[in-house]
Amino acid sequence: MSVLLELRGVTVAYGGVPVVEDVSLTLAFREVTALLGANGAGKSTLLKAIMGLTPLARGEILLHGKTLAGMPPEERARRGIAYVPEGRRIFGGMTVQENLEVGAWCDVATRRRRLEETFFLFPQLEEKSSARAWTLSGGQQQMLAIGRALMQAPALLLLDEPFLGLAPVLIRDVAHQIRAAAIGGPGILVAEQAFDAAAALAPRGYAMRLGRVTTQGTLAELRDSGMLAESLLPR
Amino acid sequence: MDALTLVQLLLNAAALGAAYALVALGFVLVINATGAVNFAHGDLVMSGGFLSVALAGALPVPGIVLLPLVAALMAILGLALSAAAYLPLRSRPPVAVFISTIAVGVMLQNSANAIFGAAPRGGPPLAGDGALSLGGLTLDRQSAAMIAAAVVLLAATQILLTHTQIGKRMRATAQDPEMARALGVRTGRMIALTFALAAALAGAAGLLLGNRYFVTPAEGGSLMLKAYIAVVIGGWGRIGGAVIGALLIALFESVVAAFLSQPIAEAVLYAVLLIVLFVRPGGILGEVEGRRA
Repeated sequence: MSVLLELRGVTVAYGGVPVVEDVSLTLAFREVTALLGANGAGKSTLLKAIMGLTPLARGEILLHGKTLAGMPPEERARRGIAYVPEGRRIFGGMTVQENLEVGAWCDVATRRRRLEETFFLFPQLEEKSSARAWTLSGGQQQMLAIGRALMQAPALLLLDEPFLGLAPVLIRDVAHQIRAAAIGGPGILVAEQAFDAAAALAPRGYAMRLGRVTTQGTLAELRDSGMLAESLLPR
Repeated sequence: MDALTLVQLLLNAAALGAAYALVALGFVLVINATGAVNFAHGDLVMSGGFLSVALAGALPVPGIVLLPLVAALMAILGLALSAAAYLPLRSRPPVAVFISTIAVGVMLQNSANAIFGAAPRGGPPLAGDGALSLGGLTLDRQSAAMIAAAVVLLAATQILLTHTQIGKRMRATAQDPEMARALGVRTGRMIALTFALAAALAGAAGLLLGNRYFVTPAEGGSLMLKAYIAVVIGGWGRIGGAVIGALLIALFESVVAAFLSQPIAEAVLYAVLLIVLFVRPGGILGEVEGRRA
């Protein structure tokens, strides 16, 4: 199993207080792994640290075995990391197609092909391709944020609570689309609070509580370990 | 007043408004990209005016030929402005940029004063003097050329921003710089390019205005105020908004001033500004981004 992403003793602190503490994990090529934990467990902060949006206090992050230390987010993105943040953060004043094209670092022909692939995966976006992004529904905006990340043809996709605020019927759709995107595609690290939602995407995962990884294994193991119940306890 | 005079007045207003639209567009592009006001923007228009005066003295060609040269040189000045007065202060509060751009504006003013003197100078005409005859109607060449040049520049800017990858990335940087970085966009470069584009448009406006309205070192302040009013009236973040606002200002300055008087036209313009702010705080066209219920 070759390693795509490796975290070694990663600690992130805000104002001297550690939010993520001594986290080590590995993700193989094309592997889908869940980060499970309650609100405030440090999942979002960990994803931001991998993207380079928040600095590390200690530890190291490696992509393809090379350290990302000191590398700004825009260079990490160009080396194959894509990020779907909590709250989606689509460019509301731009059209759907323009949103998709911002992160396509490739020639025109490749960009067209990726756009076709993205529209194939998300037909709802093709219907709305020239609409301003802010006019989309919540579910469509989530699809746009995921599609925008996939347009980078990433090696690693970071998803922060992709189902937050979506209706159950949409959760099923989006989960299906993420699984489809994962086939032959990027390794995915998905932060999730809800066990069922995580189980719909990832065979394995890490449980986080108060900034630390408490346990790891298959989702069934996590569910049976009892550590998970503790991890998912609210703050 | 006969119909022909009115048509000529409207044409003058359209020409003036077209130049103001270039000023306003550059102004709002920088505000959207940086969240800070570039107080040197009016002085960039003035610099473009003096640049065209100097170039016209050295090269005996019509202004329209000088236009690309002036725009290119002004774009370089815009890059220098962003490198000196914006990028080092990016992480500081906006007020730091207010002060640094005011400082650059003062330097530009004093440089112009030292080189050209305080007296008004006339810029080159765009395509010669005289009138074009169109059916029974005569249009003066300068107004027609000003409108044509501004329309081409506005269209080119629109195409750049919406149909090129670099334009999309400039807009993404303006809307959410952190997210743009996470998508691989080098936001510092996009902001520098925005300054370059704004300065090029301002310089072009300086050339367009220089022949009929003259260039003086101290004119920057009033031009920036007009850009600001145009953007407030028209609405933030839209090319169309800046154009409508600029045309409205020019209409007041030429047509209303001709019927009433300059001070009254100005008073009415500010009254309109207040009414727009009161009735439609987002401007006539409103802001691009709305909110879903």
